[in-house]
Amino acid sequence: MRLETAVYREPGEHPLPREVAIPVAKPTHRPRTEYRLRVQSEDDVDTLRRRRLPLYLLTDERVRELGYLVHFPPRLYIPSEIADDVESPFRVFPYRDADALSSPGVPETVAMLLVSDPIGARVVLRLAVTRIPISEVYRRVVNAGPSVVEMATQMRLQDFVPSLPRIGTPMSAADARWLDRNEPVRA
Amino acid sequence: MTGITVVVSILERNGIGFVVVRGEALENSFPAFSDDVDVMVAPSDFERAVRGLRREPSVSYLRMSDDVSRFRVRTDSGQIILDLIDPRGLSGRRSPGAFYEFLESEGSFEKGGVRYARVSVAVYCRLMAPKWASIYIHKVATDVGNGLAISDLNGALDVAELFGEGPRIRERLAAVQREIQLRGLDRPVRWSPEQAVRRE
Repeated sequence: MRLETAVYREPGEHPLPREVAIPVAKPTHRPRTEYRLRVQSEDDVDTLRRRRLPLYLLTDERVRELGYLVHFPPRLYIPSEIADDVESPFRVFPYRDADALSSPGVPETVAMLLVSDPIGARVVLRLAVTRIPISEVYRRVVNAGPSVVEMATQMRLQDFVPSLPRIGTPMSAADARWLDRNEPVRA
Repeated sequence: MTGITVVVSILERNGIGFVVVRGEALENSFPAFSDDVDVMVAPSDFERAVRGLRREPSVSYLRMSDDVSRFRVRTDSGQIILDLIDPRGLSGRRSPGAFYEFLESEGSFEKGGVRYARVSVAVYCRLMAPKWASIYIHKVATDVGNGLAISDLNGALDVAELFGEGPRIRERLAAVQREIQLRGLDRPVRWSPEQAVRRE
């Protein structure tokens, strides 16, 4: 047995633009049309987010705003349940905590980075730790699943969020200090 | 002048041959990099390069750790970090200068008057870094998420074999593979970032 989730239009909702939502052939016994999503641009992401679909495009501009000076291609985070229903030229990251994708702040961004760039997650958290709610970081990392907690442990995020569960082995404190001194951050 | 052009101009003025490695080199294959510039010089030139850079008015010496001397370089638009890397630890069982000779001849390519390490060579350098297990394994897996081809991971193994480091790199690539799986980066992807539409 397995749980399946799909994208449907809600009753009374205007039709989804065909550029981004492609109807899947509807079996006769199914009352609703299922859609596949085609996400080719940042505007497509905005269109779908306005329809309350929790897709999120993490850009390097956003990460640089948070002080970590790197460049990377945009990363499209989508709820794991619909990962097979999305096609995109962006790099797709299925993400377990769909709620975090609705309106991500710094804690949500830290948790997302643990999947795509765990060193970036430590850098961003270290730079923001005095001005964000640590309990939110805890909640978002734990909600993202055990593999994300394991990455958080490897990156020693417990240095900043001591209550975070530990899975696996952290890097040494000396290596974490080396990392904190050497990663490119805004002066 | 941009960061890389400032660095090139300083090193050329000091008569130091060099190859750009790591982030900037990887950028030639996929668009993921930092603002830092990492360059490698021949082991026989390393001390002279450090002395030359320390004499430059636009350069501040920061520190030395492991095989890297770090400098801050002022540019027209601000400042960048320059890491000067001593490659002798990369030569494995061969003579200390062997890796740099390979890098200059077969392991790099020229673009705009600057030599850049080939991607597989840059990956080999990352996997041979002293802090590979705690730090560079994550960077290489992140590179895969950003578009680094699996063939370039295998290419790093080919480079390693030239220096008798095959077993070590094979073991490290297995660790990278485990991390790729842990982070879900092994999911088949059909992405083509050049087709993605970005807002201006």
